[in-house]
Amino acid sequence: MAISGLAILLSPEPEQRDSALQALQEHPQLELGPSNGDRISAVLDTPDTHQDRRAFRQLEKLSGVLRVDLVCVYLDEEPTDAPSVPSGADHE
Amino acid sequence: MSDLDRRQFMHSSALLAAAAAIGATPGIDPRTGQGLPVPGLAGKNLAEAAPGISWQKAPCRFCGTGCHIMVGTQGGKVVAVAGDRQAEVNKGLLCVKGYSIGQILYGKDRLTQPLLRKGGKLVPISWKEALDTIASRIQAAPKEFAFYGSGQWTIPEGYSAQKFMKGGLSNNHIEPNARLCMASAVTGFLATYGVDEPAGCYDDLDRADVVIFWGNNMAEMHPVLFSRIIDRRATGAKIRLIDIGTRRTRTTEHCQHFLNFNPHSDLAIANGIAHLLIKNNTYDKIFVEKFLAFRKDGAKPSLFGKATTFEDYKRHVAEYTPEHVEKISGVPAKDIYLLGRLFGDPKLRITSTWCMGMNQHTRGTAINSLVHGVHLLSGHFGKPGDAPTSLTGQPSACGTVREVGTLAHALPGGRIVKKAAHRKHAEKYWNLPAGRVSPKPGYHTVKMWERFCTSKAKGGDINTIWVQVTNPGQSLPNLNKLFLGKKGLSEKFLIVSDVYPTATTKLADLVLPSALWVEKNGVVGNSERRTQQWFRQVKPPGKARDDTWQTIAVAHRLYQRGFAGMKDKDGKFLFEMKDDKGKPVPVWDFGRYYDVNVDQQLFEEYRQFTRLKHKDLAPYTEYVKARGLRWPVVKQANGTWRETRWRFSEFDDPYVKKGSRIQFYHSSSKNDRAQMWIRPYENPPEMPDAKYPLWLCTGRVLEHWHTATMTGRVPALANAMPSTYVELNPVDARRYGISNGDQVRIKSRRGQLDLRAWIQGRGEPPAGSLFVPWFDEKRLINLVTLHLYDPISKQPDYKKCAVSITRLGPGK
Repeated sequence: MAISGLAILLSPEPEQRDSALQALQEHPQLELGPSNGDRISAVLDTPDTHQDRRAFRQLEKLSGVLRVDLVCVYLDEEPTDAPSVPSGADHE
Repeated sequence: MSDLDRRQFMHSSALLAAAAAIGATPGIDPRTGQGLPVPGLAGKNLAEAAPGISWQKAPCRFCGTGCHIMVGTQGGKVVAVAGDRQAEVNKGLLCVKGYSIGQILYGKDRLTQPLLRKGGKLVPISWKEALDTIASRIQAAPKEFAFYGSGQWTIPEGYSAQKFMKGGLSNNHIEPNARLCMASAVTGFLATYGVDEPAGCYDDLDRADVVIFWGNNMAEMHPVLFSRIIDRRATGAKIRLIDIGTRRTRTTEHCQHFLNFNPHSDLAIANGIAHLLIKNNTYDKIFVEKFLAFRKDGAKPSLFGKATTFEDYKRHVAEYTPEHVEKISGVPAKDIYLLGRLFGDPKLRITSTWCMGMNQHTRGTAINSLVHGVHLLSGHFGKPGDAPTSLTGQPSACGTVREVGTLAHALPGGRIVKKAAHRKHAEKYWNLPAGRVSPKPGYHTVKMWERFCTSKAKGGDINTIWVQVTNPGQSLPNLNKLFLGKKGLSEKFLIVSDVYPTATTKLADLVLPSALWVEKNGVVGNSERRTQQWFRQVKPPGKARDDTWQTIAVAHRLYQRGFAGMKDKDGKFLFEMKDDKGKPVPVWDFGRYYDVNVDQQLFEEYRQFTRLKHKDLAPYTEYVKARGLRWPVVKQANGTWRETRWRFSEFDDPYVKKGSRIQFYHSSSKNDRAQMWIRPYENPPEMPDAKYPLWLCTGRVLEHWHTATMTGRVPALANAMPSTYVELNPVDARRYGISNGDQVRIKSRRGQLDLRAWIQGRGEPPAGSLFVPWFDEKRLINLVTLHLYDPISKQPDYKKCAVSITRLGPGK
């Protein structure tokens, strides 16, 4: 289980912003929280770290999303020393 | 708690934290001390969401940004943190490390009792035995003792260590790890303005039209500052961001321009900008006429060099045409023209930032002075948004190392041991007999550890080092030479005060458990001259104790034994603390240490030192009320204290003469002018060749702070980035037959390390170069790095050396 608190910065352009908001609202693993200006808080709830990272990267690539800041992460996994880096597929 | 409840709790907590991070959770109302409503969370506030929690301010323990945090405590433990909306620096925002900071106190392996190596093993001992052991080592050879701290020393910690060494032992072998991270920024400021630290501040980031990152990955290293810039763009501000770097990073992704330069060639780029300003006649004539003096190095590089003329300067930069710069740096000439146009436009406001990229450089002083020079020559200086500003990586690299002067050549307040008048000041403020402070500078960091790792018979005249708040066993360059060389030298003795076992404690002979962050009082100074204070909020675990107490307790042991240096000229103990009635309090007894505010007494004594260089600090009580104040902090006619945002500028700096607009009042040419340096590009001392064909650059990652001794204990951060890796370019991967995740060996003339390969990872080095983060204590890249240093700042170059890479096999 991986639960991340995110601060998402949206484009000030109304069209891009609306499109990003719609995509975020439809995201199955994301819950949106309060916003402040162009920033919106959100929680990403995924089964594991691997999927958390993948979803995070997808969010970063959404049109109208300028930046995603990771604020906190809650994991049910203990720190591990392996793998040293995630598999290549995770970083494509 | 059921799994479902737990998941819901974590979910809500994550949302609360994220909302707080964007300022939707306002934190604490300063008037009532109560939490304010959290929009969208059914009217709940922090106090309601977590009843029974007490909240107090504290600056973050990690980088030099100086974010303020609201720390929530309950039952003697830190149980929550929130961004502090009252803090100008971060306006309620925190980065991923800041939000995890409470957990650094509670790693399972906290050090809780003193440990002495006996029969090859570290075994528990009493504090009494620990203090006696240190006192005996010092008494036996006081001149062979050295103190090694860091930019994580609070101001009182660094000040007490400084006084202990220079005032008590007449020994100048005191150094900070900051020699490894910002010494070249210091010498850059000194060489240019005659006095250290930035003239501008973070407000410049809110006003600049152009921000240039000189080898600076601000998005990962100073993420809250980076958010200040990106937030402006989000609200419609047109800001041009330029990354001048040797590797694509997360910062690059946000920049309109990426100028990918060959390692070391940033000097050519800066000279190229100056060339265009002169060729296009777009330099600032008033600055040249009124505010600048010209200087070049003599036979030996130094802070002062020798005077020269503008004509000489023009002749020097004439050769740095954009085309010539392209040949040296690899940056297309068109991009050099772009920089020339931007700096040549007086309507723009331009801020430059840098950190390790320019400082960890064998020409660190030179590139620092050249970047200042570009700003001065173009007149992009002294107006809000127009500033060359270095950033620091530690919470008090500025406040403690640079201001208290915990360096082998320095005394508090910008003084140096070589100057008789400065030594006299110290002896006066410390009430010492004349001649107590030695005029001979101690060993700088590399030399200190070299001498420690050399047998006495071969000239190794440092036999005991006491390390506080840093981890040289991981952070020194060329570890085989500068740290691991201690192995087998039985006469050497290493004392380490820390909070967790580290790469350094592995070789320690004596380990002292220390208090961490809000387990003690503190005062620190961030990158923008902001001094910040906090109070102890929880007690340290077991027998862990404050570093300042440790220093004072050792000093008192020596005093008890009659060691003359620990007495002032009236025979009183050097660190005598008094209560409100003027009665001495035995603070060397830890049970009595918090009977008085030792930090406050040390700070008030130190404050006397700060006026010589116009770095005036306010009384301690002013910092208790504020979220930091930027010096010089000057008392107003109405009794209030006013901070200064822009130094040397008449409109804000009270020390600038009326009518002068700009005044560099500590000018080394004694004419109120800043120094413009002639500093040519030269090849670095080690470059790729047939045997070691690749460049290696080292650095940090978002999730971990420095050697990860703290962040590595936070499960979320450790899992997010469990171990280090080598980033390489796909071209090099193909060339060496390496696939993503493969095990590879990196080798230099000094050592080797086996790592996993990461191709097109978080950052992307260009073909021909590698990047390795240095946070991982199980995989020490500093076995490989170079120990050669800048001749003026003595700061080593961690950003470039020559290495080879070999595939060992598939990753496990």
